Amino acid sequence: MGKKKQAPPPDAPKKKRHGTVESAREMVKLLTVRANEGHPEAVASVQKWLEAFPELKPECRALDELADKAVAAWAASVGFGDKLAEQAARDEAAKLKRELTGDNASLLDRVLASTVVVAHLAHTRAAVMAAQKADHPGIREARERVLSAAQKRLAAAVKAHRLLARKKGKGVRPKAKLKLFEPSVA
Amino acid sequence: MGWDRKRKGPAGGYFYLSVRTPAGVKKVYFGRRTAGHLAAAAVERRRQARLKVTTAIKTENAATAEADCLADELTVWADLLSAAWLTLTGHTYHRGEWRKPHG
Repeated sequence: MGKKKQAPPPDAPKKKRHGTVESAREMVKLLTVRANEGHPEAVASVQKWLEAFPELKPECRALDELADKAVAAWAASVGFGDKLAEQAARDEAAKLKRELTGDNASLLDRVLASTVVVAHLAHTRAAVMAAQKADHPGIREARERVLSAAQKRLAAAVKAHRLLARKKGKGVRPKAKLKLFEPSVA
Repeated sequence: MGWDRKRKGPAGGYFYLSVRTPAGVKKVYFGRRTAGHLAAAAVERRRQARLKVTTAIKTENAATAEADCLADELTVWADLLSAAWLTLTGHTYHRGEWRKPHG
C-alpha cells in the first residue's frame, strides 16, 4: 500500500492480452458501444486496441476462410446434391464477390461482400424451396417464413455494403491506419 | 381431450374432445362405443399428419443448419467490423442509423 507503481522498461514485452476470437470480438464490441454513448476515450481505445493486437492478424485470415466456407456451404445447399449446379452457384458467387470488392479490397470490404454473397445464395435456395410444391400448407408456410427471413438478411447485407461503399466513395477514412483492416498478407 | 376413465365407469373410459368455441373451450362427449373410437382415430390421424409436417420442416431446416451457422458468424463479424470502422471515422449510431455529426 502506498507504493508507487513502477513503469515497465521500454524493452519489456508487451502486456499479454486475451487471444481468443470471442474476447477480441467482445472487447471491440464493448468499446464501440461506449464510443457510441459519447465517450471519446473509447474511440481512441478501439483504435489502440486494434493496432496493438497482433493476434488479430491470423483472425483476418480466419475471416477469409470463414467467408469461403460459408459460400461453399451455401453453394452446396443451392446445388441440392447436383455437382454441376453447385459449381454454377460457386462461379456465380465468385463473380458477384469480384463485382462487389474490386481490386485491392480491404478485409472489411471482403467480409461485407461475402455477407452479401452468402445472403444471396441463401435467398436463392429459399426461393427455390418456396417455389416447390408442398404436400401440406404447414410446409408451405414454413418455407415462406424461411424465404422472408432470407430476404431480410439479403436486404440488410446489401444495405451494410452500400453504406460503407458510399462512405468510402465520399473519401471517409479512419484518421489512423488500421492494421486490422489491411489486406492480410500471407 | 382423450379417453377419460371414470372411477365407477368402464375400464376403457369415455372419449371426450376439447373444442374451441367463441364462448370458450367446450368438452364434447363421444362415448365409449363406435362414435368414441371414430373420433379417437380421427384425432390420431391429425396428430400423425402434424408430426409428419413437423418432421419434414425439421429435415429441410437441418439441411442448411451448418451453412446457417457459418452465415450467422460471418454476419456478426461484418457488423462488428463495420461498427468499428464507422466509430473510428467519427460516426455515431442513432435511432437505427449511422450518422456523422457536423462540425
